[in-house]
Amino acid sequence: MKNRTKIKSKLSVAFSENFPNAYNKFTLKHVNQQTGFPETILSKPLSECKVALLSTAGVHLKTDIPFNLDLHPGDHTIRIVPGDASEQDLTVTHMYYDLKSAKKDTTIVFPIQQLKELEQAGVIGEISDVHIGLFGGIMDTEHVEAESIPKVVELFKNKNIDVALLVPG
Amino acid sequence: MATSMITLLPDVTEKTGVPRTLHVPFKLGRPCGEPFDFGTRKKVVHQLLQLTEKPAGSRWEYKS
Repeated sequence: MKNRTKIKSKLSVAFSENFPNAYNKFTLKHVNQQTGFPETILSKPLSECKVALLSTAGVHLKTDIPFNLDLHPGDHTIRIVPGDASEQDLTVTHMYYDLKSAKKDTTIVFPIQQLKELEQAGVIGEISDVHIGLFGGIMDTEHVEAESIPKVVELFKNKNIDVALLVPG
Repeated sequence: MATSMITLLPDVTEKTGVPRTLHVPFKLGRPCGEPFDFGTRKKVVHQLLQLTEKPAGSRWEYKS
């Protein structure tokens, strides 16, 4: 990570932690207003559904190439997390939140273990064998919308995913 | 495919038109609670799953 990125990261984290209301206003100002909701109603009970996780907290396998934090306006590439990945296999790369807690316990941003337990309890039908890690600190979402999201949607459709749980950082 | 999203910034997710959100009272970077608090983690995931059965536009607050 370049020094400029390190400084930017430290300032961003300090801003969000010390001035949460101002951070909320700043974020709100930089988000485009969307109208209407995509309407999808589950056609079967949860106990028969296949469920996947998608995290924008910069989750990826330790063996993966980390997200490139020096890229402007942000690394929009995707990381695939296999369903059999353990917490010990995962790490996080991000610059807009304090990573100390997530590095200690990745389930706070990627609760795959709890999803497995709910599968065993019969709450869901099946946990997907693929999940997605993204870097959510994207200033310009053009590439995310044109490339990353269609890839994820196609992957999830091919895997017959019924439910996607979205987790931020 | 139905989606539900955890939110720490409900005003922001409302503006982006996310179909279903679960607003959690945790700090940024800890959307599913504190490290090693697996009980809370399970509750968050369970509530997020239950939310997927609701219509688009549903806004829930996390119940501890």
